[in-house]
Formats: sequence, C-alpha cells, structure tokens
Amino acid sequence: MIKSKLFYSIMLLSAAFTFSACEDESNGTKPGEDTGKTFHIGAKFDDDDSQVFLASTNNLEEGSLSFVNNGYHLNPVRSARVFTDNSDNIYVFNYGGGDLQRLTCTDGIYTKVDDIDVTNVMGGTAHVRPWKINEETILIHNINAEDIEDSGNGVIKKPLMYSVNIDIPALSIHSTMETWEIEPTEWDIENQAYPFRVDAPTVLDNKIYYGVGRRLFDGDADIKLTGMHTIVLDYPSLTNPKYIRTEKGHGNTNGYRGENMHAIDGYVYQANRAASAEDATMLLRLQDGEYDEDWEFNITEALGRAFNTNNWYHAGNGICYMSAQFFDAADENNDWGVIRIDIYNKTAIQMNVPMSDLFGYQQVKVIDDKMYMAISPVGTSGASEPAIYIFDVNSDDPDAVTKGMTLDSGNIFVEGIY
Amino acid sequence: MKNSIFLFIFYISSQIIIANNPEKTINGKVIDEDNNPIPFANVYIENSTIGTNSSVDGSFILSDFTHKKVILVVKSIGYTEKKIPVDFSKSNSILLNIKLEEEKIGLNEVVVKAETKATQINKSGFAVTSVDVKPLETRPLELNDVLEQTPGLKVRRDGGLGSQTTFNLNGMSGRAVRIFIDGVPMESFGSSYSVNSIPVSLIERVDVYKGVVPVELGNDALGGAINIVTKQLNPNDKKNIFNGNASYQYGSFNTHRGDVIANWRNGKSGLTSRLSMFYNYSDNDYKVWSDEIKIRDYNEFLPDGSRNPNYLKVVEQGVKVRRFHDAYKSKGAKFDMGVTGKRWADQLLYSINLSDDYKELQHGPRMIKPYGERFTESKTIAHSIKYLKKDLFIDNLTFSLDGQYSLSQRSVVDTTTNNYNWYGEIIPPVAGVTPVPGEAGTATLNVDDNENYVARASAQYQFNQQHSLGVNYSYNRYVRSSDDEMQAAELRNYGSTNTITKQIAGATYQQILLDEKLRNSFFVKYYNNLLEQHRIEQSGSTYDTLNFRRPDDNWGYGAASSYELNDRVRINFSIEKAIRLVNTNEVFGNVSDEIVASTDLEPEKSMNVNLGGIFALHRDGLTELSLTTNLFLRDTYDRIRRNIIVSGDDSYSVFQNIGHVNSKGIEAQLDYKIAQKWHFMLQGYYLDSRFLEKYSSNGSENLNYKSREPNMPYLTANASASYNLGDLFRQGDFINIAWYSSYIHEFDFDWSIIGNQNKPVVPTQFINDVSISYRFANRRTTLAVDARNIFNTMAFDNFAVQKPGASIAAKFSYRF
Repeated sequence: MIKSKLFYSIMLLSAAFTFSACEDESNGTKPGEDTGKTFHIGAKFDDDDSQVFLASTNNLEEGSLSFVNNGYHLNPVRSARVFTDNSDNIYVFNYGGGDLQRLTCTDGIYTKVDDIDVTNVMGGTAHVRPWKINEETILIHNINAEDIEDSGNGVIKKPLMYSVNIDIPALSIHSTMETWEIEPTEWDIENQAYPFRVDAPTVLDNKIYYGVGRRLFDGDADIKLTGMHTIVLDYPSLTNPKYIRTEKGHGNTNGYRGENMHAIDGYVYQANRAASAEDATMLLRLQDGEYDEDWEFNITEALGRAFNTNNWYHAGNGICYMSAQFFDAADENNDWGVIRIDIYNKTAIQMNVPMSDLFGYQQVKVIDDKMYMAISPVGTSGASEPAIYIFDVNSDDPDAVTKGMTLDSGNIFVEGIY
Repeated sequence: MKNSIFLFIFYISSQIIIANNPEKTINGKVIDEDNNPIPFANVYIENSTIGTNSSVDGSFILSDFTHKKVILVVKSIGYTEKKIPVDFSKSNSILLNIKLEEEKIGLNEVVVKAETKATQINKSGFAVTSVDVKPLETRPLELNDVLEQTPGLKVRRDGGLGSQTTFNLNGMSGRAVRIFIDGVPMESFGSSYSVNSIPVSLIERVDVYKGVVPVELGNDALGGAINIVTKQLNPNDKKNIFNGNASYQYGSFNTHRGDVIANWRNGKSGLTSRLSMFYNYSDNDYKVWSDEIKIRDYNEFLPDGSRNPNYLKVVEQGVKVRRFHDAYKSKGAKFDMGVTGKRWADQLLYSINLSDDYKELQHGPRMIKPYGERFTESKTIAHSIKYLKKDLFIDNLTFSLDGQYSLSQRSVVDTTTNNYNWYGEIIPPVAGVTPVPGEAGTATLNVDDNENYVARASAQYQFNQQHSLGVNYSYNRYVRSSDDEMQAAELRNYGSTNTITKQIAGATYQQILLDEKLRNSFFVKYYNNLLEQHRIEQSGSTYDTLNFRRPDDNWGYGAASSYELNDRVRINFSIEKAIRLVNTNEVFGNVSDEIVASTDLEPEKSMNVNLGGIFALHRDGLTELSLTTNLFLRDTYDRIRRNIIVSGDDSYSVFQNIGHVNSKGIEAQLDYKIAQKWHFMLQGYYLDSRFLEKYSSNGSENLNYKSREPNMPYLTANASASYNLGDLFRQGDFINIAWYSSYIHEFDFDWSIIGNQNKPVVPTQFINDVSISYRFANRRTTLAVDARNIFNTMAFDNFAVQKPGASIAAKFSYRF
C-alpha cells in the first residue's frame, strides 16, 4: 500500500511537468477542506458561447455554487477559453477578439491585469485557438485554408499553418512560427481532403505534437476520411514541421475544447473522434516525432459499446477518464457518459454517472487520488441535478464516484473546473 | 412643355431664383372687442399651407398666394374663429383689421377645422404619433433625429451619418418594426434611399404606429410601423405652379448635405412634375475615447535587437482618437411626372428614383479592431406608378393603385491584408507570417442583387357620413441572389436565389358615431407568405440546384377606437393580433452565412394592446397644458431568436422559436405652451419586458424566466424648451431657440440575472442639444444652427460603440 502510494506520487510529479491539469497534486491539501485554495468554475449561459462566466469556490466537495447574480462575465466576442497556472493566474483567450488576458482573483473578485492581442502575429485573424502546454507557455495556433484552382482537380485548398509561443505569466511573444504551407500529401489527395484545424498541442522532450482535423474539399462528397494525423514541430523553436499519419484508427485528433492528447510516461497519447459506430475509438501513441506502430488500445472493443470522444483527462498512473458519446444512446440531449480507461492494462469501464452532454466540456481537476468533473444532465421540464462528481481514481468500480458540490439546474452549462 | 422642362432644369442646375409674379400680400392686425391687440393668433389661408402667427402687437403679413380669391382664417385660444374672404382682383396688397370675439365658455361647439393631417391621424384611435416634419425641415437634422423625439421610439445608431440604425418601438425591434416610404416597404428602395439619406425637406410627416398597424400598410409589422410620407402636389390648384426649395448644410466632421426640390404644374392641363435631389457626405471622423480604444505597441524588437516585452500590449487605453475610416456618401434623384386633377384621375404619376451610397466601415459590432479599408456600396433604381381617383364610377368610391419595380445592389468589399491601429496607421507585418486577407476575419466581395415588385390596390366606399368600408391588397415579391467570389467553394452561393412573395389582403370597416365623438375601425388581415429558395451547390465539377418551397397562411385582426369625452379629453384604444412572418434564410438556411435550416419555424405572433388619451389639462387665453399618454401591452409568442448550434466540429446559426415574451409599458408626454411663444415638453417612457418561457426546447429550466429582456432601453426621459419670437429685427422675421435633453437609463446588454462582475452594460446617458433658427423677413430664407451633445459626453446606443461627441451644423434653406 505504502509502496503503491509512493509510486503514485512519483507518477503524479512527473505528470505535473507535462500537463496543467495536475498542478495541485503535491500541495498535500484536500479540496474538501476550506484551505483558501481557489477553484474557478466556468459556465456558458443559455447555449450562448459569448455568455461565459467564471465563479470561484474553495470547496468542490460540498455545498452549492450558483451563477445567479454571481460570477465574472468573460464577455468574449465569439467564445472564451480558460486556463490556470500554479501561481493563481487565470488566462482567458477571447476567440473572435484575438486577445489573451491574464486575470487574478481575490475573494471572488476577478481583475484583468494584462492582455496581449495576438491577431497580428497570426496574420491578422482573431479566430485562432489557444492552448496552455505547460507552466511557461501558451501556444496560439491556426490553419487558414484558401481556395486554389488545381488543374484537372477543380478547386482544392491551400492550408497555411500559424503558431506562436507566448511566455506566461509575462504574456510576451517568445517565438513565432514561420507560416507553413502544408503541401498536399498522398493521403490527402486520395481522400480529397485537407487539414483544416490543429489543436490539442502536447510537448514531449524537444517536440510539439499537434492533433489534426481534416475536412473534405467538398463537404457533401461521399468519401470516408481515413487515418489519424499529427503535425510535429521542434520545440520551442517552432521549426521543422512534419505532417504524419497512421492508419491504425480513423478520425480527427484535434479534439474540441477539452484535452485530447497527453504526454504520459515518455509517450504522447492521442485519441480519434470516430465518425460513425463502424469506427473504433482508438488510443495511439507517439514518440520521437513518429507514431508507435507497435502499440494501440482499441477502447471501443474494451468497453464493448460504440462511442466517440473529443475530450479525456489523465488522472495519473495511466488512469484516464474519457467523455464518451454513445451512438446508441436513447436521449439525444443526454448521450454522453464517462468511461474510465487504464492505458497500461487496456481496460475500459463506464462509470455510473448521469448521462449528459459533454461535447463542449473543457477541463477537470485532479487532486491527489480524486478527479473532479462537472456533469450537467439536461432535464425534462427542468428535472436535472447538475453537480461536480468526484471520481476515486484508484478504484475500478463503476460506482467509485460520489456527488460533490451542486450546480445551477437550468440553462447554464458548467464547462470546466480550473 | 418642352420649354418648361428646360426652364425647370435650368432652375435646378443654376439655382438662380427668378421672381416673376408681382407678390400678393395681406397686411393685417388681430384685435379683441376692446381693440387690444391679440398676439400669437393663428392666421392662415384655408386649404393651403400658408400661415403665420400674429406678432406681439397683433400684426401679421401673409404673402405667397397663387389664387385670386382666398379665405383667410384667424383664430386664437379663447376666441371664436373667424373666416374672411379676400379678393386680390383689385389690388395685390390688402390691409385688414380683424376683430375676434371672446369664446363663450361652456359651449361645446368648438371644432378645430384646420387640423393638419397629423392631427387627424392622431385622432384615428390608433396608437400613432404623427410627426409633422415641416417645422423641422429648415434645421440641420437627419430624419433619425426627428424620429428620436417620438415617445416610445428609440432610434439606435452605431455612429454618425449613414451608420447602421435600428428602431426599438415599445419593446419591439429588428424586423418587428417595419419602415415604409409612402406606404411602400423601405427595403424596396435599397439601403441608399433610407432613413439615413432621405432629406427632411422632402418629407411631409412621419407616422409612427405602435403595435397596431392599419391595413393600408401591407406588411407583417409585429411591433409597429413607421410610414414616411413625402410631400404631395396639390391637385386642385387651377393656377400654374412653379415652386420649390433648396437647402445646404455644413457641419462638424466635414458633413455636407444638400437638397433641391422643384415642383411644376400647369393649371390648365394638369401636367405635373417634380424633381428632387439630395447629396450627403460626411467624414464622420469624430473622436472616440471609450475604454475600447486600446493603443498597442507594435514594435516587435527594441532598438538593441532584443524582443520588446510590450509588443502587442496595451500602452494606452481610452485615449482620444479620430475615426479615420468612416466616411459616408449618398446621393439620389427622383423625378415624378404625370397629371393631377383630371376628371379621370386625381393623380396619375410615374416616378423614377435613383440613388447610391458608399459607406466605410470603421469596425465590427464592437470597437475592438479598427478597419482601414472595408466598405460597402449600394445602388438602386426604382420605377413606380401611382393612380388615385376619388368618386370613381359612383360617388364616394375612392380607388388607388400603385406599383413599384426596383433593382438594387449592395456589395461589401474587404480584401486587404493590411491591418490598422487606432491612429489609422498600417501595423507593420510580422516577418515570416503570411497575412490573411479580410480585415473582419474573412475576405469578402459579397454582392447581393435584389429585385422587388410591389403592387398595391385599395378601394374605399363611404356609405354615408357614419360608415365606410375599405379593402386593400398588397403584393410584394422580393428576390435576392447573392454571391461572393472570395468565399470558400463549399460555402459559396453561386448566385443562389431567395424569393419571398407576400400577399396581404385586408378589409377595414370604419364608423363615426355619436356626433363624431366616437370613431371605430375594425379590420382583418390575411397574410400569404410563399418562401422559395433555389440553392446552387457545387458537387465536384458540376453544379446542382436544390429547390425549396414553403407556403404559409396566417390571419390577423384588430380594432381601433377613439372617443372624445369632451373637448378636453380624448381616449384611444387599439388592439391587434399581429404577425411577423418567417423569411427564406431563417427557414431554409443559408450556406454562406452558415445558417442551418429550420423548416418548422413558426411565425412570431403577438397580441398588441394600446390604451391612451389626450388630455387638455389646462387652457386659458394664454397658456395651454396638455398630456398625451399611452399604456401598452405586447404579448408575444414564438419569439424568433438566432441560436448557435454545434454540429460536428463547427458551430452554425439556427433560427428557433424561443417562446413567450410579455412587454408592458407606459409613455407620457406633457406639453405646456405659453402664448405660442414658449413651448415646454416633458416626456417619459418605461418598459417592462419579461421572458416568460419556463423551459427551453431541450427541457432545461430557463434561469432567465421572468427576467427583463436584455439589450433594450427601458427607462428614458426627454425634455425640451423652445422659444419663438417674431419681428425681432425686422417685421416678418422669426426666431426660434430650442433646448433638447434626453436621458437614457443604463441597460444590460446580456441577461442581467447571470453573473455580477464585468457585465456588459450600455451606460446611463444624458445628452443635450441646442438649436437656433432664424427666418429672414422675406420669409423665404432660413438659417439654422444646431449644436448636438453640447457637453461632449460619451454617447452609446449599442454596447461598446461610441457615437459622436459635441458637434455643430448650420443649414441654409431657401424657398422659391
């Protein structure tokens, strides 16, 4: 028992260097106790991406939190992304406005202390995506694809990739990637497709791995997109880009607003978003800028039920929690559940939590041996009981989850705990 | 005829005024039974627009006659009205002493005969404010400034001349409020002939119908209608007429506005023509200094070659900068030709209306990123025919028919790869970073081509003094095709067309009862709305056309009633079940605007009720205090809202019925007049608009249930004082000095119920304007100066978009 705990601590420490969700493991306090540690709850109101609020709490395990007359309006132009660091800074990216802000929070009062407008280094567009990759850096990236006439093939796309490296908490440009024209690859020509989005960047050693979303030139064409893809760059120089592929799984790897790639124990793990029930949700891994063609984890097979995902979180020790949209779910408003996967033993179980909508879910909190996640079922005539659910990371029992702090029941969706 | 037109064009182009007829004048004095002068008596010629007020010593001068015989009407509060026939056949200059008898209080027979059309409309029972624009035409105002003074109507603008305008009317806005020009939907004229550009001197009056809209205005006006009535030619004049006016104004921000109107009519043949032209230009380079104005450091490297830590950061916020890419230019000409006053036609006119405009766009929906090159252009050509005949075939049957065909085009141009800072400088590009074209995010060369057919017919039969029946039919077919060659192939429209064919038929039964004290009208409307979309999609190297079609039938009905309790109190009541029809993009979606189809979308429906009154609170020989008030209710179901849905990895817009909204409110206006010299006005408006749908479509509870509707001004107040004085320097001159204050209480941009920090709020504002206008003794020339927002306060109608600060403009008008 002692041995396993020690091992567990080492795992957590190493993980802390690679992704932000693990920032608090080593401070030894329990979130149930009111220690003054502040958590930020982000919520979107009325299905409106531009009405996003942050409210703070010291306790995720009991009581309740309401956004009624409470919370800081992030007031983004189109939508907002939120990250936190270990020094109590909150970073907000205003998608559509193009500015990355740093906020602080004291006694529930949020103050904007700094901001940087990244549109200029992104070629002039404010519709770009951010990602905090470690305690020193937030990356901003984008693909801008323009139509070009390809002789004999009609209109095809010329994708240009942008990326910039921003130092935090200073919010200053560290380096700018030279805009990279992604040349059409064999597989893109065959699929009549192009990379239209990069996201979920993950750093391992001296490389950065970007998940890639692909799209058909003609959205209505009846062509199945095959393979899983990654763009690899040297880090931190943002040079030497490479666009790679594996055929072990099929689907986009960029995720959506939550995490979709993690560096765990020397590998970068990546999941696909299955386009249909015929495609399995696969976990693959990369190292040294290449896919590990000798390793795969067919999660669909392990679970025995078809689903897809766009966000999953590492709770340490190879245990991950994955939001899963089931193709056979009966209630279209609540077709997402949570599954626990063990990447070393290649097992998957569905956790006993209410079905909800986790499509746009952004962030969980992992502290010690607990993972905290907000689950907000959409109710019938208002009958829903959104709450923060506390998962016991060490247990592989589907019932090893308890209900913590309760949230507003209604047309407000809690999309992350930061 | 040819010569006349030539002469007429000569007049316009040279703007040299020739006064040929010897002028007929009446010099007179108004006195009471004791021979004391009666100041400020109303003196005018019956059935004309010629009139004045007597000065302090009771004297007056009237000129400008075309007839040989006229009836002079003289009246003053507290005195019995007097009519005097005047004959110019012997002399061109008549001298008169007019004695008025004191009115016997208690007699209930004072009937104000010379009421303007505006007054008549205000008596119809409809909740309508009819703004008589004529007194304002000499002032350097935009139509929007005039409308803004209407109780219950809030004109919300994004900036200076030519900026985007939305109307909030008693808690309804957007497409719920329809604008008409002489009864024709304003969309038909294109954006270049609109409330932004149309000169005030072309307008007779503006009728603002709140919630309940008469059948003649054939459109789906859920929340009300604004009908701009342009000046008509008088068909009953047997004399030759040649008259008109010209004005020119210059003001802050290099604003120039000019217009010329010339009317010509041959009394014998009834041949009539009119030419009106306008030109507007403004740099709109007013200063803005709100917190949205952020000056950033664009030096990537410091002089020593190291990275600048402040690169792209805010170095100054809220500094005063001039808008640098906001110019607006519009111009237009309208020519009417036809006959009036014929046996077979009271009016038969053909008109051609040409206009175009150009508007630079300084920023998007908020003042975040300044644009330096994006602009829009539009142009319109409209042909129309109008026929009117009273007593057609049989007595008391009035028939009118009109039709308009218009072609308009609007384009948006944004292809630059330059980016600008708030000083109007190009931001240096970053080495190695390929700039993305399009300042607003995506490059565009979007062109909308619109084709519009409007036909309207109406007939009214007057059974007797008490009863009349009218029927109306309107046909409106609107065809829009759009294309944007810069757009991504899979989103491109390839000239897809959207067609809306609206047919609205209605009948109105009107009665005048109880010795003209009670006026009722009952009406019913039938709406047929046919939506069609022909969508061209590229599929590989071929193009497929998809056809969509949805017909829709709806009924509406209503009533308006007006009761004159006594000569001091009039009560108005009106009610309508109103409809806001759905349109093609909302129902079938639009690929290039990323709107997905919503084929089950229901029209918005609302029960609108008004109860109001006009109260003469106090009246004596010298002063008059009156109160105009209206209580209103708008109970709206199936409110349509644009929502965002996520499908795959992308988000799209979809139009959905979100449910029930209930708005109640009150507006009131107090007017106090002293001897027609002073006029004080106080106006207040309060709106309580609540969202009343408990559950959203997916079953979750609406936390904003019963919340106040956001982004809607709900508490406003206006006050004005004006002073008139005649014979200041010379007999016959006239001066008016006015002060106008408006207060708007702060309102939330988003739902107020959620969150409590950093909430977007449109702040409380208190704006003051002053004006002075002087009419020269020749009564033809007026010079007016208006100073707006004199305390240079930050003004906002919309969240984070600052309007102009202090400005001044002067206008010179000449009537010939």
